[in-house]
Amino acid sequence: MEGVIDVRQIMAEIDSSIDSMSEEEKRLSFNDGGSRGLDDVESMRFDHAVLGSIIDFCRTHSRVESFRDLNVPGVKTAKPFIMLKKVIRRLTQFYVEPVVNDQAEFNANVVMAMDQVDAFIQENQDLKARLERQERRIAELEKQLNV
Amino acid sequence: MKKIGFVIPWYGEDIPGGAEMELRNLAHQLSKRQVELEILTTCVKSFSSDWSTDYHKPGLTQEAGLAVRRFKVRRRDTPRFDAVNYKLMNNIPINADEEQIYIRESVNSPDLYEYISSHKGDYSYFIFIPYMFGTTYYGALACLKKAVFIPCLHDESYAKLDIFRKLFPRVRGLLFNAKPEEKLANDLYDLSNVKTRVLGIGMDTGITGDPGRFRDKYRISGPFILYAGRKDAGKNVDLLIRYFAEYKQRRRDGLKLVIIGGGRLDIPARYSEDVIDLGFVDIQDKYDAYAACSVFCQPSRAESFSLVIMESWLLGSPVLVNDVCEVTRNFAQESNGGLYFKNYLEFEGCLRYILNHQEEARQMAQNGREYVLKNFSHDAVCGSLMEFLEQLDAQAQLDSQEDAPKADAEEAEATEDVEAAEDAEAAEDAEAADDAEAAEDVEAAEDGASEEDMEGR
Repeated sequence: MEGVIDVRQIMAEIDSSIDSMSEEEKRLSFNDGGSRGLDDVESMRFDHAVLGSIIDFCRTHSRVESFRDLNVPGVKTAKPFIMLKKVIRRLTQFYVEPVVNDQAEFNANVVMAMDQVDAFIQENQDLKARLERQERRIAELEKQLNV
Repeated sequence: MKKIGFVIPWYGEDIPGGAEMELRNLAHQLSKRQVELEILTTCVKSFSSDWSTDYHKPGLTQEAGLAVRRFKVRRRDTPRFDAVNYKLMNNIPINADEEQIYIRESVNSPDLYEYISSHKGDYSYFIFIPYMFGTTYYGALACLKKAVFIPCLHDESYAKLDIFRKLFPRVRGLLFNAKPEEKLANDLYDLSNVKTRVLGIGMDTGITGDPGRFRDKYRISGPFILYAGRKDAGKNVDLLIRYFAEYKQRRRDGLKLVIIGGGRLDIPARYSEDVIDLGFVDIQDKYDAYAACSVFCQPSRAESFSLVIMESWLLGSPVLVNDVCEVTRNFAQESNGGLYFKNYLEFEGCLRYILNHQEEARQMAQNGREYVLKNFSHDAVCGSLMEFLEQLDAQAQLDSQEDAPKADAEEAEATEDVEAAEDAEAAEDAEAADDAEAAEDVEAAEDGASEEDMEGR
C-alpha cells in the first residue's frame, strides 16, 4: 500500500513546479527566511530590556582575572595535582597576565561604549514618548476646536 | 524478570512535561500488562519547583496504582548552577570544572543513589529519563550494568558535555523516541558497545472522530488546515499564520486555518474570518477536528515525537510538517503519510497538492495510520521495550561468562564516582582547611622556584 505513494517523489514534483515558476510568481509580500521560523527575525528586534540585561552581564563579567581558585568546589582533587597546577600557573604567569590585562581593558572599553549606546537609546525613547504625548495633546485640542 | 525501576527527577500524576508524561504513560501501560515496576524519584514537586525543597514525603506510596518511592534531595548551590546553566543555554563554552558544577548542583539525592547501589539486586533494570539531570547521571553511575536511558536527547549544548560523552558509552542500553534522535546520539557518543532501540511513544489507537459533528458544532464549512497545540513562538505557529496569510493573498480560495490549543496569538485583522482560533476544546472535539480537516499542519521545528501528527493520521488526515524538524520529517517520509516544507513556496505547493489530489491525500493519511498502528500502539511499544530488556538480559549473561572481572572493576570504579560525589560536600570543608596548609607550602616552593628563575635570567 505504501508503495503507491512516495512522498519524496511528490516533493520532487512540487520543487520542480516551483523551479518553473516565473520570478513574478515567486515574489512574496514578505521576506521569507524559510521554515526555520519567524522568531529568528523576532530575536533581532530591538528590546531595551534585553539590551540592559546584556550590558549588565558584560559589566559584571568584563573584569577578567588571571588568578583563579584551582580547587573545584565540591569536587575532590588530589593535592599533588593542585600543586602541579599552581607551579604551571606560576611558570606561565609572565605570558598570561599581560594578555589578560589587555583583554580586561578592552572589555571595560566595550562596556563603556555599550553604556553610551544605551544612554543614546534612552534619550531617543524619552523624546519619542514626549512626541507621542504632544501628538495626543494636539489631537485633543484639534478635536475641541472642531467641536 | 525482576521489577523495573524507572528513575525520574520528579513524579506526579498531574505534573507537566514531555518526559514526565512519557514515563507516566509507559509505566501505566506496563503495569496494566502485569509488569512489576516502581518509580524511583525525589521529593521535589516538579521541574518548575525549587530543586532543594522536599515537597513530598520520602518513602514508598501507591499513586494511581503505581508504586512510587521518593527520596530526599540534597541542598544545592542554585546561583552557582545558574551561572553555568546560563552559559549552556546561550551556547557559551564551559570548561571541565564548570561541567562538574553543572551536574553536582543539579537536582540530586544521595539517598536515592545509595538505595540504587544497595538494592540493585532487587531490580532487573533501572530506566532513567531524561538524561540531563543529576538523578540520571549519579543514579546511572550507581548501577551501570543495569542502567538504561530514555534520554529525550536534543541537539543542544547539554548533550555535548564531556560528562555525558563519557557516561553514555558506559550504560547498558538506550531507548529513543525517534530515529533522528538515535542518529544524533551516534554522532555525539561512541555507542559501539551500547545496545540501542527506537522505542517511540505509545498512544491510544482506538480514538474516533466525526467530521460532521465538528463542522455542525463550530459552523465551519469548506476545506481547512488544522493546527492543534500550544500557540507560542517555540511551536512556530506565527510562521504558519504568516504563510497562511500569504497563501490567502495569492490564492483567493475558500481555505481556512483552524487553530486549537492554549496561548495567545496575534491574527492580522484582515484574515480574522479565515483564521479560526477555537482555543481549548474538548478532547473529542479535537478528534472530530482531525477527522474533518483537509490537512494537519505541524510547523514546529523541534519536536521530539509529536503525538498530534500521530492522532491526525489515526483520524484520517495527511500531515504537513516543517522540513527543518528531522523527527517529524522522518515520520512523514518513513510512513509516506505527509509532505514537508522548508519555505513559503513549498508550503503553498504542498497545500495545493493535497487539496487538488484528494485520493493521494487520503492514501497518505491511510499510510500514516498503518504506520502508527504498527509502531506506536501501546501493545507495540510495551512489547518492544520488554523484548529489548530480554535481549539485554541475554547479552548480560554472555558478557558475565566472558569478562566478569572486567565488568566488576568497571562497576567498582563507578561506585567510587558516586561515593566521591556524595562525600564531596562533607569533604569540601576539610579540603579547604588542608589546602590552605598545602598552599602555604606551595607558595614557599614557588617563591624558591621564582628566585631560581630570576637567577637563571
